[in-house]
Amino acid sequence: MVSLSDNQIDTIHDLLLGRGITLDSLRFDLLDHVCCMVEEKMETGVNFQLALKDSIQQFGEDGLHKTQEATLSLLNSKSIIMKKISAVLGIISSVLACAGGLFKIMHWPGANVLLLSGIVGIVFLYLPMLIIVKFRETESTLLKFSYVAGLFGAMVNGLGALFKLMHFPGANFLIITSLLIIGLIFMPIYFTHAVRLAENKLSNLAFAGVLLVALFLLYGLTGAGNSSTMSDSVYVMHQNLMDEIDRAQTERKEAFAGLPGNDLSLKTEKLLDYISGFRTHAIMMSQNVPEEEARDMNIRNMYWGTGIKGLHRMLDEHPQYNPGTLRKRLQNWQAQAAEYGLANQLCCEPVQGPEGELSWEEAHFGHSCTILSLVSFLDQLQLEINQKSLHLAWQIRYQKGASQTASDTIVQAS
Amino acid sequence: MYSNELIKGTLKTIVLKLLSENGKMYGYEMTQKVKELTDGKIIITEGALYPLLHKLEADGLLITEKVPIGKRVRKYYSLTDQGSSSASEKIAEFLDYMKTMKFILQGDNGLALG
Repeated sequence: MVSLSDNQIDTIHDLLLGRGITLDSLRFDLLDHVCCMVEEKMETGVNFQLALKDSIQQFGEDGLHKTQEATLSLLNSKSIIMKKISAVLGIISSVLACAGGLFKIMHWPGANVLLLSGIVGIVFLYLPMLIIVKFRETESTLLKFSYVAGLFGAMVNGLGALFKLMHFPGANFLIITSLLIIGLIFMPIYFTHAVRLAENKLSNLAFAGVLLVALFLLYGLTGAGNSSTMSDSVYVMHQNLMDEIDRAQTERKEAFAGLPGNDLSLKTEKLLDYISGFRTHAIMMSQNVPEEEARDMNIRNMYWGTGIKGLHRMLDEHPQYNPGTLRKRLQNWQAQAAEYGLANQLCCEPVQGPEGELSWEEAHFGHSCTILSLVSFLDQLQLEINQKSLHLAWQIRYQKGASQTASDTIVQAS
Repeated sequence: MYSNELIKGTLKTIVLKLLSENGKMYGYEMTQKVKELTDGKIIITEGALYPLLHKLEADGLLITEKVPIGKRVRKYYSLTDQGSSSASEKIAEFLDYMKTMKFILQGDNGLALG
């Protein structure tokens, strides 16, 4: 009775691997089977090499590989439909995500919705189905573990992108965690164990690289490059400013309510309307959103690109909103207010910049401005006008010898 | 040697019958046993046998036992309870089918078969 040596068994094992028999349990079967065949042939006096060659020939040219394919297709007949569904879902989701990316770059409306549905589709529909299919095809526990890690990493990554998109805190933490999971757990295991064929290793390595880059790109796109801690503090500051404007506005209206028909009251109202119209139109043009949306838009939801995109378009389409007109209206209002005793003027003066003196227009509307700085500036202006006219209103009421309570309030206030 | 088509349709029954007779067997043993029993008239190819064995295992009709032989592992297949009942069903069904086929093919039975 001929018995093969360990080396001879290794030779056969490597040959099976080389022929692409990656399914472990099938490889055990075939290894034993071929060994039996070879041993039987060697009984008749044939040497190992010849016996092996003969046995493999008995399988036919593609015989070994076809056996594995037949096994896989028999085992996976149930998951074939699932595979098809998941492929269709994958294609639809990635097309949505790509379109979202394009829209985002072009600042077209609807970019976030597209990106969001694409990401949700990939991470929460396509990947889980893919993992279920893969689970049925693999036997190695280590690989199964890597799939779970990969799925988990992808879900955390998708969640991170979602957080970025919605400007929720913690997005960076999620994304970095997911990249660590995918890069340090999933990829090393997957690419060393799932791919046993040497010729595929390089292309798989390239694929891994591309995958990582894609994940980073997703991060860049959804984040639009804003650092979250920095932007968070800016949002908070701006929100405070908005609250202050609201408060000052109410108080101003109350104060002027005691002075019916006052022309400063009317002028102030008109100027503030003009400034908020300016703000709305600047947002409309830079963010490509309709007027209703622009009116209530907070800087939190804005894209902060450098330069006031769309400002030139705004000047063409809405010529009433330009820095020159704004300056003239501000000066008119100040002239009026000065008659009522406005002491310190609003700053329409040149501004000292790091590279020398800048005109008022250049400083606030020039090429180095962003939509963020413009909106903040206009909001600041609104606050100052409200506060100054509130002060004037009480002053006028006091001078007119209005009711004792009013003057009391001023004394208390000052 | 019978045509592949016939063997393909009956392979499952053959495997179940073999295992119910012999307890546990490994793949190569099955191919040899069938060759011996049929005087080489039925040759089971590896390309058909192993996919079927794996499918039957996945369906819960067979279980495997791995026995190391030197540096290789031999997988012995045997019937589960479910596999045993499936084996008797399959065998009974096939015997019945053969009776029917014989009835049809022998002609002399009132059916207009030429």
